This record gives sequence, structure tokens and C-alpha cells, in this order.
Amino acid sequence: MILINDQVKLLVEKYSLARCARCNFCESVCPTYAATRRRVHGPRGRIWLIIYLSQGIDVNSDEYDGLLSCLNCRACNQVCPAGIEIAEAIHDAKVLLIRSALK
Amino acid sequence: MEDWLRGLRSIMLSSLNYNRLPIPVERGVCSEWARGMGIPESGDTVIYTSCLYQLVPYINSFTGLMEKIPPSALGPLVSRLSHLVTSFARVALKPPRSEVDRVNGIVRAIATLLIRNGVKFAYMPDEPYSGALLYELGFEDDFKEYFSSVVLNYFRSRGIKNVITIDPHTHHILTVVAPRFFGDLGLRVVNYMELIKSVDRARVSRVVIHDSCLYSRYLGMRDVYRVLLEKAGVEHVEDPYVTGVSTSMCCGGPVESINPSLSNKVARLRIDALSKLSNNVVVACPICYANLSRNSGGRVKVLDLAEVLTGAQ
Amino acid sequence: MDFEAFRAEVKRIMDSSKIIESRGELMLYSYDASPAEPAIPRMVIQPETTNEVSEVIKLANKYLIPIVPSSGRTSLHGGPIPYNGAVVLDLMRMNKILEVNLEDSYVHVEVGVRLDELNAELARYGYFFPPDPASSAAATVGGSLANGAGGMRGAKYGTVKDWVLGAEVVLPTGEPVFMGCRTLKCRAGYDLLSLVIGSEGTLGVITNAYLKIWPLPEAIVRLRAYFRDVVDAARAVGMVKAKGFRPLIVEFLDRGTMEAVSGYVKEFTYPRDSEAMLIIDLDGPPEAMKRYIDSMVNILKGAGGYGIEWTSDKDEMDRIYMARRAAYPALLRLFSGMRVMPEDISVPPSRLPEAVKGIGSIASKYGLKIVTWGHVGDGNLHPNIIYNPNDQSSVSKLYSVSKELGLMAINLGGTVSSEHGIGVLKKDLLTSELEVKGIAQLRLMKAIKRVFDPNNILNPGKVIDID
Repeated sequence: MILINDQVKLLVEKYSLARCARCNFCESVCPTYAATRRRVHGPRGRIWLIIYLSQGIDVNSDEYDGLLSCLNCRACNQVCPAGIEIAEAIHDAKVLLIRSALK
Repeated sequence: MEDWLRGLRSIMLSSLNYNRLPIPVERGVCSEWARGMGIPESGDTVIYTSCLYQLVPYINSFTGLMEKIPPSALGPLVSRLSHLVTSFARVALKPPRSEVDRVNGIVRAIATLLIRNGVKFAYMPDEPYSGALLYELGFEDDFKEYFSSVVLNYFRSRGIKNVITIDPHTHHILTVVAPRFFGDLGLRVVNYMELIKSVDRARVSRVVIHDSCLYSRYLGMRDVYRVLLEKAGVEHVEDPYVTGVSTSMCCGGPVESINPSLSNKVARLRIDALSKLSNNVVVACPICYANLSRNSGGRVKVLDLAEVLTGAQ
Repeated sequence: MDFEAFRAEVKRIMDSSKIIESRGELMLYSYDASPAEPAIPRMVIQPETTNEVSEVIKLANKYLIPIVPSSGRTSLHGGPIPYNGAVVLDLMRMNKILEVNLEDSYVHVEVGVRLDELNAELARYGYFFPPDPASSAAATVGGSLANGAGGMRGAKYGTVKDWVLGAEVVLPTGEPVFMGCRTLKCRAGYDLLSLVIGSEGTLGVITNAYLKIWPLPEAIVRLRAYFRDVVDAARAVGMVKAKGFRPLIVEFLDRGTMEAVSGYVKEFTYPRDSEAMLIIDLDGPPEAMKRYIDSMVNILKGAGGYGIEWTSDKDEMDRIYMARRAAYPALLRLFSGMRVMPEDISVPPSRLPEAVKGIGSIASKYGLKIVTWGHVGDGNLHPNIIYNPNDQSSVSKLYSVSKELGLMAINLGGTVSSEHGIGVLKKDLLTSELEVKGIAQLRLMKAIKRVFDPNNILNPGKVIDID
């Protein structure tokens, strides 16, 4: 759908997303995950969608919506044992997705 | 979704271009609150409402419209006919007068608190919207362009030195986001809550606080309004799973234009959790106020902090 | 295996909002929290009722489709990874607390409820569900029961198997049954419930359970002591128990843990000459606390403990506990580019000194850093192996270290898995343990699996291989 892998790669590095230990503490405080119980609407899912994007894997419309519908409420940041700035990483991913959608 | 993003963007940009507000309404709605208050219209210290509270009734009508026609369906149409939609919206968005009066009352309450605390300030009938929505949705390039050409220019050309913000979104933009992009803005920015020392005795005695994500987790201000409520003699019920730093869930407002049904669902879950602690929910953010009151289903009363601190509630 | 026929029938009986088939979202079910090889499921189904679980499993059994039940996906052994084109049954939408019954002392709960959520609700009644794995914020009732979770309070309260009265279980043939009882005592034939608890989703899918609940402790006091020798710390634990104390928790932190925490939390300091730290919580009636504390301080001093502090103030208790709470985050942040594999062995508490020494020599043999803490009241140690996931030799050392730790535990009369489970990563170690304890048991386990699951569709290849 979109070819933004290289920029997403930089984002993955900037936020050291590979530090994610997949403990899933973040999902338990996420309002959108609580509302849908779909992992594309949870922080761990969103982080991994970003990682997959950086690996050249396309996202479909539900997954796209998953990233764009992050509230950036930062609850996940508070509980991440790895200290990943999850909300900021997702915000930056939104910026890339939107930039590419508007092209 | 891409169609909708293009459509949403053209609605916002054409509206900002038209009246420097994110949705197409008449500018007069922004300054109605100040009528009869005797606040000067120029000075180097200003209250900056960003028109956010005043827009709440219009945002509610807009979102109500959007939930009926989801973005995916609306997208293709809007992206082609954004100008038509904009003119249509100007006519169609007619919220009930009671809602308009209520939000104007909140802004008036904030101004009243400042005046009673001896703060001297002016207001700007033609103040531009901060652009927060563009930034928060991820339209960062448009935000930068809009903020530097409109907002920053506005403050600079009028020689404004001190800005008093009244909502967390504008405060976050001015104190964190814009300085990151543009360096020192040459403005001293304070939030109204930080200027309030004395308050009236509130009418409500026991409330639950719904934290604004920005005040609480971005700006480190969650204790500021707790202390103010205590001064007004209000007990705030706390629960580690409902009002804790990480557990106080968002109102859902930030995605109302991306996924309105999700946004409302998040709000209703939040109301469920809050209603277990108290029927009086205090908010300190116009977006929280809009999303929670719209979804309260009569189960709780959503009160703005300023209404409580002026003894109106 | 006829996946297309299965898919068509599933779509007939399930609303499309409960079926996930897009690749990106499926990939979110390819991993757990372990280093086990990921695998992408063919489909994810999100049932909301026992009946839906039953219908899906009947179809899977008819078309021979492997099914992997899962919820929080926080496993540390690869248990919920859907190998060989399996379909994941995501139970997170079964998330209701159905009934809290104080008179009969149980909570009836669906499996998608997280343990912390459950305890938040029970706390409103002055009760709690004692098993407390470190992942309780994310771990669900279902995952905890399926994996036999324990936690810090294990020495006093045991693990989940001690706290389940009964459960609704969908068998691998699709029949829903109620195993166990709603009463405390239950002698209804063979104890099938105990077989299912800890079976890691290989014998049945638990959809809801009656869990025993317990009144919250009236008062808690927290003690901390340092030791110059880990042997002394281990000895102290033995003496505490020999004196008749049953502490709520006894947490052990080795020097590596203290170092890591002090590198991460500025306020945390520890005596330079200490090799170990114990954090002990005692609970009981408030009137007895003074007596307990005096006695405990004497025991700890007698075992060589120093820097002894105790408090019942909530903030002070949090401050003492910070060393333990910050340990895992410290490891994740301090060793950049590295990963942490939390191991999970138990030895009889009397053999703890040997185990701690053994961990040290295994670490130096392979040149991998191991930081150890544990719930030593019950002899459960968590040696955390730090490895580089991008370095093949580091990864193979990880597996060698893991294996040697398990073998050491067996030799000391312990076990290879205390509370995490077997999954795919510890199948060989399980065989080693059974070789010591009587390999005939492996034959029984395989036979049991075949009786429950004749077509081997439920989480195949986990815990044991049947062929």
C-alpha cells in the first residue's frame, strides 16, 4: 500500500522498539484495547505493527485504523518496564502514515 | 481511510483558512463569553481560549453527524467536495442554545476566577485556534505551517508577552510542542490553574476527578486541580484502578474524528468506571467535557473544574 | 486437515467481527514473551461464550485443525505460539466477573479477566485471590490456570491449583463439561480438574472458573535484611520457617540484581559488602505484629543479617520493595540490545545455597550474565539470563544455560519449572526430570493426552510430544 519502510526503520531505531519484551502490561491500561479487545487497538500490537511496517510488511485498513486511532494518552508509557515511549512512537508513525496517504 | 484523511484535512484546512478555527462556524461564537465582563481587548497579557470550550457544542453536533455516516463512507465524498461540506456544516451545525450557554459559562467562570485572584489580562476577540488538532491527529506538516504563519505571527504582531491558557491541549502546544519545532516562542505561558490561589466554596461536596491525559501524563499537573478542589472543600474519591496515574483512562476524545464509534465506546467505558465512585465527575479539559458529557447517558453529571471552583456547581 | 471447509463453517456460525484473517493482525498472535520461534496463525477467533468455544472446537475436531487457546499471551515458554498453521482461540473477550460469593467463599469469573482486575474487584469486599505471578497486571485467569501460575505468595498460599474449586472446560472433542465442584470439598471420582490445571491448553479450554478467595491480611509488616554471604540468606529462610513463621512473601535478590537496580534507580543504595538481600512480609493480626517483628529480627541477626529495617507504613513499604519491583525494568533498560530470559527453577529450600552457587558457575562457564532473584520461601529461583537475540552463539548459549540450570535443579531434588510451565522450550528438560522420577510417567502423560484429545488438535506439540 505504501512504501515508507525506510522512514519507519528510523523510527524503530529512534525509539528502540526492539526493546519490547512483549510482557503486555501496556495492553491492560489501554482504553482503545479495552473498548474493542482487538490487538491492533492495543499498544503492544501497535508497536509490533510499526516493527512489521519497517520490515516491509503492508498493513490493511483495520491495522491502519489501529495505528491512527491511538489516543496518545500515554497510559502505556507509564507501565512499560522497558521504558519505551510508546505513545510518542505511535504519534511519529501516524505522521508518516498521514504524510504518505496525502501524497 | 486515506480518502477520509484527505477529506478531514481539507475540512480542517479550509476552515482554518476561513475563520482560523478547526471547524466551520462563525467567529462570533468564540468571543460571546466576554460580553459584559469589561475585559480589555488589548494588552501584553492575554487569556488564550483557543476557542476550544466554545466549540464544544459544535464538535458534539459534528461528531453526532459523523457517527451516523462513518469516515470510510464519508471519505471519498468529502475529499472531493470539502468546500461544499464546509458551507453545509456552517448551516447544519446548530447546537442547542443551552449547550452554548453552558460552555460560555465555563469560560466566564475561568475569567472570573482570574479576576478575583487579581490577575490583570486582556482577551482577543479574533484569537486564532492553536492548531492542536492538526498536531495530535498527525498532520504535523500542516500544523507547523499553520502555527508559524498564523498563531506565532498573531502573537508577535500584537506584542503579546504573557499568555494564560485555559485548556491542556493549547497549554501542551505552547509549552512543549511548538518550542520543540520553533525554539523559544518569546512568550511566557502559564495555565490559569496555576494563577488561582483562592476559590469559592463549591456546592458539590464529593466528586470523582477524570484526569486529562495531557495535564496528568504530559504536563505533570494532576495535583494542581486536586489541591484546588480541596481548597473549595470538595472531597475527591480516588481509586488506584480508576484514578491512578496509569489507570485513569482517556475520555476517547482525541480520535473522535478518526473513529467516532470507538471514541464513544471509550467514553462510555470511562463513564462506567467513574460512575462507580461518584455521580459528579469533574473535568478540566474541553475535549473531556465534550466526550464524557455526550456519552454520560444521564448516569453522571459532568462538571468543569471552573464551575466547581466558582461555586456555580 | 481441511482448513477451507473449517473456515467456511466457522464463518457460518461466528459473526465476522469475531474472526481475524488479515496478515498484520495475525502476526500479533505469532509471539509470546519468550524467545521461542514465532509462528503466524492461519486465523484468530475471538469467542464470547462457552458455547462458541465449543462449536469452534467441534469444527476443529471434525476437520483436524490445530487450535491454540490463549489470552494475555505473556507466556515465557512458547506455549501459546500457533505452530503448523494453527488457529488461535483468543479468549480475551470472555472478561466478566460473574459472581462474588462471600458466604461460599468463591469468585466465579471468566478466563479473560486479568488477575489484577480480579483482585481490584475482590478488594472492594476485603478479599483477594492469592496467586500473584509477577505478570499479574497482564496475566489472565485463564492463562494462570492453564500454566499453573504461582508468584511471590506461593510459600504461604501455594499456586493456582490450590485455589480452583471448579471450572467449565471445553474438551478437545468440543463437549463442555464442569470439572471439580463449587464446594471446598470434592471427591467426585478422578480429579480431572487437577489434570487440566497446568496442562497449558493441551487437555481442554477453560472458559470460566470458580476460584477460592481469602480475606485480605489484617496487617502486614515488611522487613529487609542484607547478607554478606548468599548461604546465610538461604539459611535465614530455613530458620524463619523452622521457627514456625509462614511469611506472606520472602523475596531474595542477589548482588547482580542490587547492582542493576542501583544503576537504574538513583535512590537505591545497598551496602558494598552485601551479596544478598531478603525482603520479608509477615501478615497477621495487628496486636501480634510487635512480637513477630522482635522474633524475626532475632532470627535474621542470628543468620548473619544486617542493615535490618522493618516498617508497616505504606510508603516505606513501597520504598523497600522498590528494589524488587525495579529489578526487571532495570535489566530491560541497562543491557541495551540484549534480552532477558527469566528462568524458573525450584529446589528444596534447604538446597538454596548450592543452587545459588551453581547458578554462578553455570554463568561463568558460558560467559552469559545471570541475575537472580526469587521467591525463596518455597525454594523458587528466577535466574534471569541476559543474552543477545541477534547473536547466534549467544542464543545457543542461552539454551545451554537454561538446560544446565534445569539439570542442576533436578540434581538438587528440585524441578525444572515451578510456575512458568513447559511449553515448547522445556520439553527436553521435562523428559530429563521424568527420567529421574520414573519415565513411565511420560507414557501415562501421552496416554492421557490421547484419551482427552484423540485427534491431537488442542495445542499440539506443547508440554509433551505424543509420537
